[in-house]
Amino acid sequence: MSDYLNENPDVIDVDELPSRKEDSNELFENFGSKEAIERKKLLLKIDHSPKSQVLHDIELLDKLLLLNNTPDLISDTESLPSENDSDTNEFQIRGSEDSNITDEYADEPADPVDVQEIYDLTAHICDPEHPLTLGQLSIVNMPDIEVHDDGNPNHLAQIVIRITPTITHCSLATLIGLGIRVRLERALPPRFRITILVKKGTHNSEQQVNKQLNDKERVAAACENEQLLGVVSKMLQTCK
Amino acid sequence: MSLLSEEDLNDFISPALACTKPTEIKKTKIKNNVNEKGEYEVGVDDGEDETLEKVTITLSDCLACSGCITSSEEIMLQQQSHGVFLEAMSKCDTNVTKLAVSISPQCRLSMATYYGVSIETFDKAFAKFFKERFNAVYIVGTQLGRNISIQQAIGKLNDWKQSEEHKHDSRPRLSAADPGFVIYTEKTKPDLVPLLLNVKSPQQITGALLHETFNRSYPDKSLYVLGVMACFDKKLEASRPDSEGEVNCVITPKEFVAMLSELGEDFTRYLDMSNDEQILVQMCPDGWDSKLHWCINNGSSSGGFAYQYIVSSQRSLPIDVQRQSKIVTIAGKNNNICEYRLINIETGDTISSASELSGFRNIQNMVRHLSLNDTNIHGGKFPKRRVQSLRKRQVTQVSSITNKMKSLNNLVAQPYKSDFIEVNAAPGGCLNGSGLLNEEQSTVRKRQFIQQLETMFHESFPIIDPLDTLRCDKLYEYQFHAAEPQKQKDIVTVGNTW
Amino acid sequence: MSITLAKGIKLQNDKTWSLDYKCTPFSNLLAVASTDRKIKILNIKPNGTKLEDVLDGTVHRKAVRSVAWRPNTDINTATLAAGSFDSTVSIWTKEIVGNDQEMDDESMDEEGIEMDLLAIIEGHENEVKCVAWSFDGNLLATCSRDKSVWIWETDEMGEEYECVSVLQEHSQDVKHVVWHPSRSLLASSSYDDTIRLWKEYDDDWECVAVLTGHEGTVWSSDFEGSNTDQLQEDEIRLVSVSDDSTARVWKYVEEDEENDGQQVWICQSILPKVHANQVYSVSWSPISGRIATSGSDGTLVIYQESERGSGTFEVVAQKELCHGVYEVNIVKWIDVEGKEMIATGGDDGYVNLWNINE
Repeated sequence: MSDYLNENPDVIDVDELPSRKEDSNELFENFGSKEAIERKKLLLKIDHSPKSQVLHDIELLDKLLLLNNTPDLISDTESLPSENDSDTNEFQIRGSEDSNITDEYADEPADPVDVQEIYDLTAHICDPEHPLTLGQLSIVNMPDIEVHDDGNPNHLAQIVIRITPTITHCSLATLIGLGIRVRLERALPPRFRITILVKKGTHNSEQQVNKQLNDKERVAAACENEQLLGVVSKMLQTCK
Repeated sequence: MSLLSEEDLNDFISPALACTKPTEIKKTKIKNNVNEKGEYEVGVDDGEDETLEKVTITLSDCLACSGCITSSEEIMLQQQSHGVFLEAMSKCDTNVTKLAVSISPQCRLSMATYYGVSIETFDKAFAKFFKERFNAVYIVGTQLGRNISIQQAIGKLNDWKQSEEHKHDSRPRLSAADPGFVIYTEKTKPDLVPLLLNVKSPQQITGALLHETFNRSYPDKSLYVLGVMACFDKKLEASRPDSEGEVNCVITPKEFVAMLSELGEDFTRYLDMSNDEQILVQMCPDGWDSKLHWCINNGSSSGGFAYQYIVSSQRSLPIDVQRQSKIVTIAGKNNNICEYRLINIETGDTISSASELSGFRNIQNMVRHLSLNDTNIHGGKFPKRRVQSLRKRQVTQVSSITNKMKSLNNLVAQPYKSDFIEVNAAPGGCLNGSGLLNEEQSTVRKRQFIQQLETMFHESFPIIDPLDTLRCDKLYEYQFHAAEPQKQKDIVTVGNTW
Repeated sequence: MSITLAKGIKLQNDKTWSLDYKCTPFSNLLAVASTDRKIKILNIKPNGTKLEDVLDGTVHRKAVRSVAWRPNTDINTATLAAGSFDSTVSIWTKEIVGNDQEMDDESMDEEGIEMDLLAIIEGHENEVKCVAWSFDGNLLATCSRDKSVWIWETDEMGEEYECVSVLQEHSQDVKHVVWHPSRSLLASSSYDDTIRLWKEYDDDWECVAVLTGHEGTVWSSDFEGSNTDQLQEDEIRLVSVSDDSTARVWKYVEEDEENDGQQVWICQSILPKVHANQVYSVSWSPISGRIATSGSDGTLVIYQESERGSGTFEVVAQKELCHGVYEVNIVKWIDVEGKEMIATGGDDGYVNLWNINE
């Protein structure tokens, strides 16, 4: 009996990896408004079970949504006189009239990210040592991905992904984690706060690995390290 | 019972070496944590060996930085623990393999103080223990090795000063007696490797001499040499590829005490038996002066290389110049730097100079100053401004001294202009070795303590003149390996670099 | 009390890691460190913020992580230290001319390299995380992922640097160093969850206290500023922020009688919890005594002490999403011609200047 869950993984066939199924539209049949459907989908993200009591209680749903609201950046009257025209074009100065600083995604419709999407982004990352992907090696698994996203581009969203490394060697676990982080940071909008953890009980130094994987400064510096970037690039080559 | 921990392994040199796979695994007993590729497997600790537990690389070392002691050194250190020594002793055929033990004077002082006895008493008890318990044939101090080391260092320095090379590059030569500094230079400052004075340390030469003597007397037997030394870096030195056949194992006083406890031995028993006047003579190798190797020489307590060089410089002057020369000791900007300058009183000229420098911060300034990009290299280019030495006090050029004697008090140490720098990683040198039995104390008190030890050291041993002893023709030299920038790195190593 | 945006300045597309502020007679200089390696110098004036300089981006091979203006320099000199992920520290200097010539368009159309590179300091084995000058400008502290803090000594010119001490007592990366505003006391914050305090003894620096309690990396700390009449000789306090999303105030108690040279410190209080995620930066205003924090959740929080010295702080203002959905890396109180403001820098590449409205 091996000490580590994933020491000798059964390699999963690519075809058998979980993928997005057709939307089960039955759930939404009886709901009239588009809005309500959207809200229900949102709720599904928070509370995965379609049988949830809350789902059937729209009032409660509305209250829940209100709690999620973060106040917009309040625009106030400018207390300093307006800028000089000689402020260069090299950089933009925003006065306080602008209420929304991140407007890159403002035009996109609210489209919350779900577990499948995160899985799709990460499962095809190649393991740093073997010519197999993280999905095939069950390093990344659907049940170990958590997504909390309301789809609103002006709200923060959270992703927690737990990985199950196949070997105990810490530096490879950190490489895998780094690969996942680079992939997700590139693919997802900046509102996402990504937490990558080693699944409890799968690694005898998980605390240290977790700390390293979630230290933004360490990660940023790693991404400026040519050798590391090279390894990570190779890992990401197999991604679609 | 933790003897070796990550902190101990620090040994004052910044742990700044990226994890690498070991290049060579000796065939001595290696714990089963090393797989066939020579990689150190982590986490497979079956908890069998207590002594190994604390030496295991923890993953936090691995992950934390690219700057821990390399796994190769970790393995070399394990090959050297007192557990290894005990095992070797128990496994060997005592008819064929004999034991010799060498011990450095800093260890003798530390251990005598620890047991509350005089050095003489300690030496005898120490010898008695190894004779009775392990049937040792030789117990020696390291002065003989040190004499040779000093003489050969001076010889090489003098040769160098006359050489062509000196005209192009007059940067000071650096001592190679501190293995921590040597490894640091080889690995992280390869361009300074040519400055290392290629003379083996007293520890290694003593080991070599022991083997030579033994082989003459017992040609069909083999000798196992155990060294008792002040710090863990000495273990690394004994494991160097160019050190084969010299010292088999190095332990520190801390480990000696632990070993005694493991063996159920009480050292006071041997101390009480110290009226055996002849023991030291009995344990002296054939042909060695039985008193000499227990002595020390003048100069720093870490060997006195710099000082002896200057003494030798003075002695080799023509008599009339010698009479008007004076050795001046100039304190550096902190108490871990000092310069010995041989000055011609009449002219005010510097005849020669050698310095002592210890501690990582001073080593840092030194390596930056000496590296090839600095302007003090004749004809060297200076692409970017680098760190230069800061002159804290007023500098008075020695050559402009007119009022000679009085001005000698205003001199500023200029170690980077010396012929030779005796470098020690530990601030204060060997007396501050991390394997010694100095009690734990705050760093403030420790510094005062080291200063006291320094005085005690020179008072505790008989002093001899290393320049006045037999010359040895055989050269004892290292083979330095300046690290090449690693191009190919395996994935595990790369993964460890962030 | 409310926090309102006075100005949002986009300087680059890459992260803004650090900023530092210095008032000179003719300009209010804000230096900004970024992943794009080009240090920007802004002049913040009530009638407009100008980009004074963009420093040569080829000096450092990797991100510039930290910038710090040297205090106590000649009135016409501005000297800047910058620490980079490439493991080196660069020193720049600028003579400040007090006429309009400096401010016109011509000088800004050029490459913008008005600051001169004085020195490059090497020594750290890997990324430099923070640089900080002592209050008298004589010493520069640098810290790195190599777990060490180095203290450098320099002369008036700031041209030559010599290492005075290498402090290797942290067991992990050192994230941040900060000096006390009026005495030679240094605090270092580390990935090992502790803060260490350092003082000079004889000719070397010693660790005089270790502050434990945080349950995660300590990202930053700041000493209580000295509005000199208010603080007593032995009133020393430090605020620190951490991965554990808390801000803690630590207080010096006394010299440790049993251990020579050691100091006794206690954790005076944990500030009311507001942040949900890692807190990356903290600043303690020397003028108002208020503490400002910010971090991953983008919220800027201001705390005020109910009674100075009491350790009881309350949240008097907070602003969510200060850099939109991006993380905030640095927060600093700045005094713009008598008006206290806050400057923040975030992953969005912006520097935002905030008004504090009573």
